[in-house]
Amino acid sequence: MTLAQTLARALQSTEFEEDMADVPYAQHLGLKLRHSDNRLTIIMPFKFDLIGSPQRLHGGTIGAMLEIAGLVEAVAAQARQGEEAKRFGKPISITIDYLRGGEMKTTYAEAQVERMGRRVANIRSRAWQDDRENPIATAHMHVLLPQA
Amino acid sequence: MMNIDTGLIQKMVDAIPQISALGIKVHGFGVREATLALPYGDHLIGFPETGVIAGGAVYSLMDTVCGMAVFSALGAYKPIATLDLRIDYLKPATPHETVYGWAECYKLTRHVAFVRGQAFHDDKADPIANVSGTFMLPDEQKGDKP
Repeated sequence: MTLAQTLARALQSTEFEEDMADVPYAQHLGLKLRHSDNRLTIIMPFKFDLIGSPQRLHGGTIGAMLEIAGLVEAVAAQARQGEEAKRFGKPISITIDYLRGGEMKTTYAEAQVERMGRRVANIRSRAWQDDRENPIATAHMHVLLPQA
Repeated sequence: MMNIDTGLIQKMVDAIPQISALGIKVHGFGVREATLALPYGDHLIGFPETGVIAGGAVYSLMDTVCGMAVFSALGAYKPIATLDLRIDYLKPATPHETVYGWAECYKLTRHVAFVRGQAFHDDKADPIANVSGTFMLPDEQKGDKP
């Protein structure tokens, strides 16, 4: 199964949460994909391997989660518009702002499409641990959408 | 010029769980700059159909090497924190090839370090990615935390 297929299953289900087993790097991070309340969330449970400095998550793991949340949301947004995306878009660039240190606990990431163009989508994401309204990091990215 | 024992730096790097889990190796260390290597591994794959590694893996390499460039500029391993980091993806990494990450800390102020770098395979003039970032330095007045 591909991630696109898993995502399609997630979007068709009202309550869905599964390991992102299709993508080795997502498995390296231990990511789960959740679809609930019409929202897609990437979940990264804490594990020791994620540490980058004393008692803190490696900034790259948080950046990676934010990027994946954005790529997944771009596909979901296209699906909601009735355009079934069979492939993921390609990230052009992403900028991560680190607001707080990532502690040794579960991290969540969600994204929202700011603008869905024909070729490019502009997407913002946020990552949080205890409180969605107090993110540990935010990002904005441009994604090159799959062209027919 | 720095007389750095890269073996010692590799030991320090190996002690950091995510850096070790990714498989990152120290490739070079100089004045205000550093180079790390990310050998290809199945665990890095983002696109199973092609074997291309995930953008997040390259991003993690670059975040790490940018931090190392700051340590080089500071002349010490101090608690620093990434403030922001931008990556531009110029081309996909080639499957089965090592990715090298180079970064230089081109400006140090009292509170902030400014870093830029590239990820590439064999040719720095044909990079996989370009990065630009800022790091908060420890607040000397409040002790050793940024």
